[in-house]
Amino acid sequence: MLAELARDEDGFLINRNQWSEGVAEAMALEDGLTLTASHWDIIYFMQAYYDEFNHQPNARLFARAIKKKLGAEKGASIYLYKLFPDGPLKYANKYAGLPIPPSCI
Amino acid sequence: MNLIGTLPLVLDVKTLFFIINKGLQGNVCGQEFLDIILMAAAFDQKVVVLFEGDGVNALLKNQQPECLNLKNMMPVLDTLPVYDINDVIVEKESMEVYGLTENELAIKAAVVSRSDIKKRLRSADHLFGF
Repeated sequence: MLAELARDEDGFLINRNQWSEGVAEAMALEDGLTLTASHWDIIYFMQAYYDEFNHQPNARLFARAIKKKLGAEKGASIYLYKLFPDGPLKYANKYAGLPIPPSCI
Repeated sequence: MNLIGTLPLVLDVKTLFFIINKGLQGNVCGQEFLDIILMAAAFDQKVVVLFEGDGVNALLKNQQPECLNLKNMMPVLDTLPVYDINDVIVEKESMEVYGLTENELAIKAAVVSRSDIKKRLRSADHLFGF
């Protein structure tokens, strides 16, 4: 499934139109992660934020925006890092089919 | 010296005034300035954003900077309420210079006279410009 998709060197989709939940799950599995309902909350949040503001926040703003929308518990850094151990901002964007955020290196 | 040990656990809340007195396009400064504003709010500081002088034009609706290959800043300004930045003011006299009316502004902002702005500036702990 993933082999047919155009992706950049970090595995981010080049074309968001190729995104589907199945693609997100496959990309996560490739990174050794099984997506749960808690992951999806964050992934859908990311997509909605991007669609509304056409803007990608940095990690601190990202956590703050989640806190505002989904509650303090889900905006806590430790909670987000438990979901996405290699970096919540980067990997939530990756599985959301969005570009790599400018603040990620 | 243990620098970490000297940092307070909770930052004092200060009133930070961010003054936008020129266009946000043209170089990267405007964009970086907006990032600083958002970050200040993310660190729980009391943020006031003031548009004056040429800066009032940044608030106009229906801008199309993309046709000049410039980044549209309006989506970033739209995120201000997400970070609880609700104290946005525009100088009345500057709006008059450009013949702008309140309903031409793309985001919610209070129109305040120069003399009232002067009073408000006195309440600021820090002023930032770019």
